[in-house]
Amino acid sequence: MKQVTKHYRMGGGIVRALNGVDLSVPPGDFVAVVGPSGSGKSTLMHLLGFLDQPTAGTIFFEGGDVSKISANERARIRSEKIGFVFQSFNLLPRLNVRQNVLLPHYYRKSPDPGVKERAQEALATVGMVDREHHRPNQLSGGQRQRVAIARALTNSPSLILADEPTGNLDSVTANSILDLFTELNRQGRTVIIVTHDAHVASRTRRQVHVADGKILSDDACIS
Amino acid sequence: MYLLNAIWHGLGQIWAHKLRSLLSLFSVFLGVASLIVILGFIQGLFTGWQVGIYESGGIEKIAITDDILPKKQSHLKAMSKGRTQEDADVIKKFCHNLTAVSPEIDLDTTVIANAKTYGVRTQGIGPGTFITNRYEVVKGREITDRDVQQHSLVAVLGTAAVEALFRPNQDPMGKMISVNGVSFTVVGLLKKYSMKRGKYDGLESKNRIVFIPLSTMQDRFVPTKKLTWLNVQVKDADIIDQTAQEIANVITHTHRGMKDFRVETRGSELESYNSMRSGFEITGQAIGFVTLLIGGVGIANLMLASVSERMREIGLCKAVGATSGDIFVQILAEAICLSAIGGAMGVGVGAVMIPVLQSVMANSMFSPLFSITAGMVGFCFSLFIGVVAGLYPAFQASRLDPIEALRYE
Repeated sequence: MKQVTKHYRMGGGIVRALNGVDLSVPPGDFVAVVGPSGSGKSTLMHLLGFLDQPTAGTIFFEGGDVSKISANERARIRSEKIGFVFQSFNLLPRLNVRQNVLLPHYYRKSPDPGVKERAQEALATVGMVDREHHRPNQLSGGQRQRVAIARALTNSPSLILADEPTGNLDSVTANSILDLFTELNRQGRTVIIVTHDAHVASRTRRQVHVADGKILSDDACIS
Repeated sequence: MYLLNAIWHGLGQIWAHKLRSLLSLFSVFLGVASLIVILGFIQGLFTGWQVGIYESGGIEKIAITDDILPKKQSHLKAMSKGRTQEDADVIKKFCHNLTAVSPEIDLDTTVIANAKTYGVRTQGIGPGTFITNRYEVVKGREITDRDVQQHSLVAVLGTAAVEALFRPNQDPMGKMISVNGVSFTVVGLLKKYSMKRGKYDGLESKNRIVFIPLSTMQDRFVPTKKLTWLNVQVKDADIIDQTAQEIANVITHTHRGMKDFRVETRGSELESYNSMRSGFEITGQAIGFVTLLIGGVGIANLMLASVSERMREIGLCKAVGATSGDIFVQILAEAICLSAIGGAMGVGVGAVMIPVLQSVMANSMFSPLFSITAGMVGFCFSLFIGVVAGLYPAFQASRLDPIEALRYE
C-alpha cells in the first residue's frame, strides 16, 4: 500500500478514515493491526480485503496494481485469494457446518475440482470434522469461529483477514483460536488480524499500530 | 451450475420460512387455479357448442322453418299450408348451390323387436338428410331416392335403438322391427356419436333415432304433407347469405307470397358465438391476471422484507466473493421459485378441480374441460410474475455495500 487515503462522506462532512498510509505485507507474514475504535483500522482491513476502494493512493496485490479495478474483479479476488474471519462469525443459520464451509465455492467463477477435499481438510485443520452436519446454533462460540476459519480456508486463499476474531469469545477459547491462526501461519499462510486487544496483538509476529488514520508504529515484536 | 445452486438456495430459503412463503404464494396459486378453471369453463362451453353445431349440420346448414304471418297478411292464415314436400322439390330444382335438400317428418314411436320395446323418435327422410344433418351409415346402406319413390318398408337404426332392441352379439341387419305396428326391414346402421363430458354425453341424443323413407312415413303414420323440418346444405359457407335469399325467393313463390316461413342461416349464431367467446375470454383472463398481479405484489413484498432481514447474510456472501450479479440472480431465483411453486400448485389444483366440477355438473353441457394450453399459460404467467416481482428486491440486494451490510444488526 502506498500513500493510501480513504475519505468517507458521512452526513454533511467528510470523514478522513485513512490519511496517506504506507504498508507492506510480504507473503507468509503474521500481522496484527492494532488501534482504538475510530482509528481507521477497520477501513484498513476493508481495503486489504478488497471490500472497498481507496479514495487516493495505490494498492498492489501479488505484484499488480489493484486500486482501480471493478467491483466484479474485486469480488473475484475475494473469492479466490482472501479468506475472511469476522468477530460475529457470520455463519448462515440455515446451512449446516459443511455447507457453510463450502459457501465461498458457490461463488467461484472458475471450476475448482478439489474443493470437496479441501473443505474436508479445512474442517480437519480446525478440528470440526465430527460436527460437519450440525447447524451453527448447535455449536458453541469457539466452534462457530472454527467453522468460520474453515470457511476462510476453503478456496485456499493467499491472505487470511480476521476482524476481531476473538472479540466474542472467552479467553481460553480465544487462546485456542489464536493457536489455530499461529498454526495456519506456520503452514505458510499470510494472516492479518485486526484487533484492539494488546494480548491478541502480542501473539503475532508483527504489530502495526493505527491511530487517527495514520500508522503510528510498525514493528516486529518478540512473541 | 451456479443457477442450479441459486435455485437450490432459493428453495432452501422458501422452506426455511414455510408459512410466510405459503401465504405469499397463495394468491399466485389462486390466480393460476382460477385462470385454469375459468378457461376450462370457456373451453368446455365452446368446444361443446362447436361440436354441437358441426354434428347438427355445421354452418353450411340452412333451416327453413315455420313463421307467424306478418300482421298485414294475418287474414290469409287459413290458406297457409306450411312447408311441404313441394317446397323441397322446388328448392332442389331452382337453387343450384346446394349439396343436399332434406325434408323430414318426425314421429314419436314405439319400436318392437326381439320382444323388446323401445320408445324412440322415428324420422321420415330422404337421402339428403344424411348429408345435411351429418349422419353416417357404417353398415348396410342409407335411405335412397328409390326407397322414397317405392314407399319401401326399410329402416336405418341409430346405435341407441340397436342397443335397446338387440342382444349385444346379434346382427340387426336384415332383421324385422315393428314401428307402431308396421314391420320394417333393417337395412343400415348409423355410426355411434359421442362427446363425453364426465357422465354426460352431449351427442347421445343423436344415437336415439330410427330413419324410414319420408313417403312411407306419410302413407303409414302421418297423413299430411306438412314437414317437421326442412334443411339444406350449401356447397360453400361463403355463399350462404346469397343462397338463403334464393331459397326465400323460390318459396315465396310456392307460398304465393305468404311470409309464413323463415330462412335461418347460422351466420348470426356464429357471430354471437364469437362475440360471446371473446367476451368470456377477456373477463376470465382479466380475473386471473388481476389475482396473479396481487400475488406478484405479495411476492415482491416478501422478497423486500427478506432482503432487509438478510442484510448480514448478503454482506457475507459478497465478502466471500459473490458479485452483485450473483446476488441479483440468487434473489431473483428465489422469487421465481416462489411463484413457480404457486403456479404449479395452481395448475395441479386446477387439473383436479376440473374433473371434480365435471362430475358435479354431470348433466350439463357447460361443464369445463382441462386444456393444456390454459395450464401452460397459467404456469408461464406465474413465472413471469415471479420475474417481475423479484426484479426490484434483487436489484436492491445486489446494490448492497458489503461493508454496510456486514455492519447491519
